[in-house]
Amino acid sequence: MSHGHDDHGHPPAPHGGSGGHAAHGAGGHGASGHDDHGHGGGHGGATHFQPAGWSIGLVVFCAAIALGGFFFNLGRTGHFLIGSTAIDLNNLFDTPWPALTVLCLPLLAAFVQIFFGRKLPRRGDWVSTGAVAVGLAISLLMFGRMIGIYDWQFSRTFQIDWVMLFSRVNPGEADVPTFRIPMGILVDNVTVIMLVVVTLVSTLVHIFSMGYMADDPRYSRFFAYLSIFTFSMLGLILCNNIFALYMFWELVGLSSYLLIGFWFEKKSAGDAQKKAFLANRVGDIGMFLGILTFFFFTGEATYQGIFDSVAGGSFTGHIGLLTAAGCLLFCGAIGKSAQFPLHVWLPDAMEGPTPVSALIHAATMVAAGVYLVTRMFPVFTPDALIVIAWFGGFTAIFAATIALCANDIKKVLAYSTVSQLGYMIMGLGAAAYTNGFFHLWTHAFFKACLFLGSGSVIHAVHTQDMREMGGLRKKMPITFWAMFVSTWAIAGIPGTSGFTSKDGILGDLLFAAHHNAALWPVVIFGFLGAGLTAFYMFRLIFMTFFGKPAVQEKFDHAHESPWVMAAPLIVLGALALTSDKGGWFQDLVGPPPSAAKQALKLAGVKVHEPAAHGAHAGEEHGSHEAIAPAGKPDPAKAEAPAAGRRPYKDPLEHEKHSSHNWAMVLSILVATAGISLSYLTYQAHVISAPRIAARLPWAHRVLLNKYYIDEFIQDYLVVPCLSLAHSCARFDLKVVDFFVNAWGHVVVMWARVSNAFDQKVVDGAVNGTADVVQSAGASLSRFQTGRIKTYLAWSLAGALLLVGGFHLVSNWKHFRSRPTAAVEPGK
Amino acid sequence: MPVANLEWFLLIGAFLFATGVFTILTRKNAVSVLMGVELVLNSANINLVAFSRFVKAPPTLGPTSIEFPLQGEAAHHVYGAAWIGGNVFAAFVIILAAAEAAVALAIILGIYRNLGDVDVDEVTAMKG
Repeated sequence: MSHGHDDHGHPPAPHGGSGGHAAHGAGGHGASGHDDHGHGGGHGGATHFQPAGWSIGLVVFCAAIALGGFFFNLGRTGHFLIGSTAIDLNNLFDTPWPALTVLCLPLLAAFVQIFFGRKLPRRGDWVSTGAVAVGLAISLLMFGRMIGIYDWQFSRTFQIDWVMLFSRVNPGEADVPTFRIPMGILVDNVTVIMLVVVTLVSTLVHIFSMGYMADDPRYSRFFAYLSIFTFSMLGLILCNNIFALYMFWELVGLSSYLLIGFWFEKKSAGDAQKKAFLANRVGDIGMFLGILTFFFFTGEATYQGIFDSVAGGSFTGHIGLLTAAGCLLFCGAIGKSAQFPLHVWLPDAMEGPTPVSALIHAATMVAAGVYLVTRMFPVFTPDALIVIAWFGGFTAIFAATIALCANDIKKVLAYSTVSQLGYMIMGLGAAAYTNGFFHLWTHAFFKACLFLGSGSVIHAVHTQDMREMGGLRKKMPITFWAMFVSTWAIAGIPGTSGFTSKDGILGDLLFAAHHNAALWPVVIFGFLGAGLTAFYMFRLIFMTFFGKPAVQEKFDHAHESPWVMAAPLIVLGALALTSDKGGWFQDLVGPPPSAAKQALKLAGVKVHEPAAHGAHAGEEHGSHEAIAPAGKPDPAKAEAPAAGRRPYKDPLEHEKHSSHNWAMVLSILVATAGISLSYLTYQAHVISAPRIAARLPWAHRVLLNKYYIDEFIQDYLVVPCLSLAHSCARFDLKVVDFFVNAWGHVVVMWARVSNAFDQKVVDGAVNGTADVVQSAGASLSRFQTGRIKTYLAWSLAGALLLVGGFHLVSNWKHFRSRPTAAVEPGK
Repeated sequence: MPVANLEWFLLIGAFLFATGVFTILTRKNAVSVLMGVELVLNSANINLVAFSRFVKAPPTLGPTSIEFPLQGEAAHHVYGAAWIGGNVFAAFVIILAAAEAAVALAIILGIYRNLGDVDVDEVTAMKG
């Protein structure tokens, strides 16, 4: 790819001179470390990407759109011709193989990369990229097919018995399986949408990394890790039971750990990866307890089994416990999706390479918590949902305020990610199932775009500090425009994807708050957060791309990134501009029927409304039957795909209408206010930020120090934990070891006594016996003269003695009684 | 005239036994010793025969003896007046003495062949 471009004769000089970049690469920047990627011409010759003009970027963009559209349309129409052979895709979902292929290709690529990556041409980046690109193609086919089917309750399960325990129920009969944990994949609309999110962002990030990581010595390992991550994330969204979910949940945590610490030479990276891992452990403990609670009470491991069991009353009489179990499950989301108390790891995770931040810590992995809440939505009680909404809402505004004062471009984006994840969680907590999940979809693209754009900027100016940037708009037009439209999306400017989803969440939230007063503060958090988001995101844009260059030298070196980095930006930027109000997403993603009841209850609406319930009664029944025979397609559905167009209709659409109108007006207002303030402060310089900071020094200090959460955790959790550990260690060393050692001494002394007894008494007795026998034998052997006459004389003497003795004994009475007998007559 | 009763026989037996033992203990010649042994055996014979003659009832030999179904007077009538067990023992002893003499003479011959003498005091190979 790149070599062909080299042939056009572009010298490496136009982007600032290879010499200058080599100097940067040699470690001129202590702080940004490996973010320096001078791609000087003389480097080994593996990758020579040239900066792109508009033309190449656009060509790649069009090719990508054409290819993606091709696969999408293949899936949507469901059949096509190759020559004269008709290929039928209607049975795409009748086997697990398409989904399994998507899942396993990255795993294979990871193995190839780990073992052979360094020996392969181009150090094997095409293996990982190809694997995930094929996965993207298949995902787009499935996506198209999903659009073709257009059934909001579409669901397919393919499962095998993973763990089976047999027991004898009736004596004399064969053992029957009484306990089983299934393992399998679940393909429904949510899964397919997540598949597209993961494979699309992953593919683009792979391509971006080819440029961004070009000079890294561990280039092939980076792609291996990316492949491991992609595999784990795909497994997480494809599996159909909570145990597999937990396994893949930990696997994505592992790949996150590996990639945050990819530049482990930096101490900060090593610290960050440990922090991320430990913070996630805290959440995962709660999640695991939640999983065990559900498994214990329902005896089911699959999502559908749990839902059916909960709906069937397995928690009847223990509603408080169901709430608690839901909250425990949500702990996992708090850790993985960086919600308030455990959000601290995500900003530090920015120590990882920027493509990783885009893929894992913005678009996909951190959304796993949101996915978890989405997937397990029917088991959350209204109380648990309120807890979730509060956590999300508080995180949304909390992180947004920290982002106001951050100067590191990646830190701003990290806190905005935390904030946006808070929005999704808040939406789900307010029963905005569709819009909460929709925000995951839109956020994945515009946030990945922002992160990749920031990577492109860092790549160009070799710093992450926004105060050293400025005026890059002209130098990096593609990066600028991609980031700019993504900023519109995240700020909520009408016509962008982010506006649609965020507005949807806020509207549903407003509606829910009307019926449940506990949600009013969350509503305020949401709208305030929206304004703050608009403010700090435009602050980022103004400081980076507008105004005058802050550091002229860096500005002079800046250049547009090579097309491998620019093209993903264009694709993602274009996706940020898609608006889908009332489109396929709203038609195809709806809360499961049992969850819909929860949502209605939360909203204070009577559950048995004829209008709301009657319309869906039949569908509920149908979906139930479609899921029940696992692994077998429902013949009724396969026969009539055209008749399967069953879009989801929100039963409360009418009631929500005014809320959504209000929310739209309000969110446009706060976004405009945020953007205007930002413009006045950072572009027009009418308002002076330093003066406000000087006026409110304590607030500024608190925000700069991120509310001292890290310090709080360090001082009040880590240090007490460590001192507790030290006291435990001291107790162990001093007290427990004292008793152990004392007991040891007692045993040793007892052993000595026992030894002496053995040596002296027991051995003495044994030896004494032997000595006695020996000396007796020696003395008695003198009697054995060998002369027969001696023996005879002795035996004669013995016989006489015996006879005499016997006589004496037998007549003893007479000897004794004689005197008494003599006395008696005299009496 | 003294009546021949059991005590006389026992006294003769005892005298004979003492003579035999004395012979065995004092004589050095192995053949003389053998003769002493014969005296001891025959003293026992005299005792056996004498008991057989004078003790009419079947002897009770303790709790492990054979239980005779008849006891006392009835036993006299059924088993006969004379108990010939002692005589039978004496006959056994005579036969045994003959066999013993044969074996002993063979041993004495063996000793003579090995040592050139029949002095029993010289035969001390079994000394401990």
